[in-house]
Amino acid sequence: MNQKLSAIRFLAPASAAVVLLLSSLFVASGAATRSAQRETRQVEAGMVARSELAARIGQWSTSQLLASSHIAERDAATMAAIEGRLREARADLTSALEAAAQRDAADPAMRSSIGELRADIDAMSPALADVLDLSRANRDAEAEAKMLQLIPAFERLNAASGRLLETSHRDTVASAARSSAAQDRAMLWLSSLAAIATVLVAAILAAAIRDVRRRQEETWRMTARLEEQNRELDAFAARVAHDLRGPLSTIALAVGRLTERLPDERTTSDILSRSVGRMETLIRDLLALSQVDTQSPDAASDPAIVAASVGRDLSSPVADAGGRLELAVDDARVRCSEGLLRDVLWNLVENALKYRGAAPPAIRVEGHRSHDVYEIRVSDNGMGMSADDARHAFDPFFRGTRAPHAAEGTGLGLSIVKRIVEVSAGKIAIESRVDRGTTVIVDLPLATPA
Amino acid sequence: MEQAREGSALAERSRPDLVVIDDDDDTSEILAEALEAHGYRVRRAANGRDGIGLITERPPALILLDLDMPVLDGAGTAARLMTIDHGLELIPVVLASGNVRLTAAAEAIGTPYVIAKPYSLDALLELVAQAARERAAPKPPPEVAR
Repeated sequence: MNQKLSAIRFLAPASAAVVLLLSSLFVASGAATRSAQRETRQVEAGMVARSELAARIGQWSTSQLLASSHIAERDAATMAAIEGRLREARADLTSALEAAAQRDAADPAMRSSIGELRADIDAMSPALADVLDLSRANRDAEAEAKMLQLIPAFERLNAASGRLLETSHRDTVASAARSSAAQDRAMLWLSSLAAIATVLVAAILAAAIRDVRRRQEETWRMTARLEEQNRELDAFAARVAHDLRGPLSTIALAVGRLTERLPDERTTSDILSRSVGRMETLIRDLLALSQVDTQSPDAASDPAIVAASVGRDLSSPVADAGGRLELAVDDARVRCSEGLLRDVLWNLVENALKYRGAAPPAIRVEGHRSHDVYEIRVSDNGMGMSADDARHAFDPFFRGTRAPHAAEGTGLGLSIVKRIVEVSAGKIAIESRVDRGTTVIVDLPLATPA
Repeated sequence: MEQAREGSALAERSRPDLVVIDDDDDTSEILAEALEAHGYRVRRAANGRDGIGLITERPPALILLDLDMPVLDGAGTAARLMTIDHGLELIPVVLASGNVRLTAAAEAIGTPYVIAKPYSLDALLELVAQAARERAAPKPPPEVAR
């Protein structure tokens, strides 16, 4: 539990930092990309405008042909129509120049070339007007001569138009290069930040894994140490039991000999024998308590079989007390060895008999599946116990304040039962009411089918 | 004890001979006293090696053997008797111990006569009488026999 919490405590801020980093990275690279796109759009608009200007200039260059047609024409109406088209071309060119001047106001090179264009066109206008006047007057030879003088000006315009297209092309290439470089930068940024994020995530994960592994190793070491201590304790308990039983056996033998030689001292020797018996019960119970933990984790048994066996052994003492023992235990496989489950049921039924009330004892053992556990209930109509006694019922050596003198025992029975149930990953509870009786409820996990 | 000493030489020889092997001096003393009072002849040893000495010197009718002892323990003693042969392996063994693995030890030795400490004098006398009467030799399971 602590391991998980620690890992979560460690991972949560680190993950938040990584998420934050990734978000800012996407925002930043998005901004870079958008900026590159904006520049591309601006350059595209400029390029379109220059192309348009070049087209207008080209159109204006056709004035040369229109003027020649005007010279060749004799019909006044046609000549007027040609003059109209010339005016239109001039107006279009003027507005294109104005638009270009406005758009490229910030570009000094463009501003000066537009200025030159304007000057050239303005310089051509009077000469062209003269050509048209001479043509209208049908002084064609003079008009043609004048027209010939205009040709270099038209050629300069054509050259300017070519330069515009060239500049536009160069700008486009430069813009494309700039845009591509901006995109490359954005990509570089993105990939370096992605790399940093990856390294960070990897570092965080590695640290988290190291942390979990360290804790796991700690747990393993602790488990191994506990297991070793358990084994030592087990061996120690066995040793103590053996060493206590030696002198106890000698006492028992000596009592036996005294009884034979001093038959008149029967009462005294009986007391000694009973004390030896109680001492042995105590040793056996302490040993049982210390060895409960040695149960194999895959031990399993059938409560119905165990209950039937305990019932056979204890039905006659129950009958001797004028009572009855009922069994209603369903077949199942529970996670508890047969020997330990027998200790559980034996202790509980024996307690029910020991702590009987005034009425003949009615003891009932029930067992059935309840959801995913197996529930055993041992209930009696005995003397019961107070709420305070019930709270301490499972404490080692605790004997109820109402325990009758006749109820022999070590006060370890319920402690042993509780230990067995806990070692089997089960739960135990006690319900009791004074003079009404006691019910002990044991929940044991079901054994997984083999 | 008084009764035992009072018996005739013939009666003395007809009394079943027991070797008690137990490292607890008080236990073996009270055992010897009680068993002699009930008509047995008893020789005592404090460990398996000394016990085997007594047994080879004069094979007894049965052996009363403790498990946990210095020098040579009960299981080792039983195994040694098996290997010595010469009929010693046929002597019934009564295993009497406070060891928590007494049942397993009895199975390894292969004796049906087992009594857990602390035992009453009556229970012991009954078991010894049964062993003397039946005379079932130890039969260790094949994998344990040496």
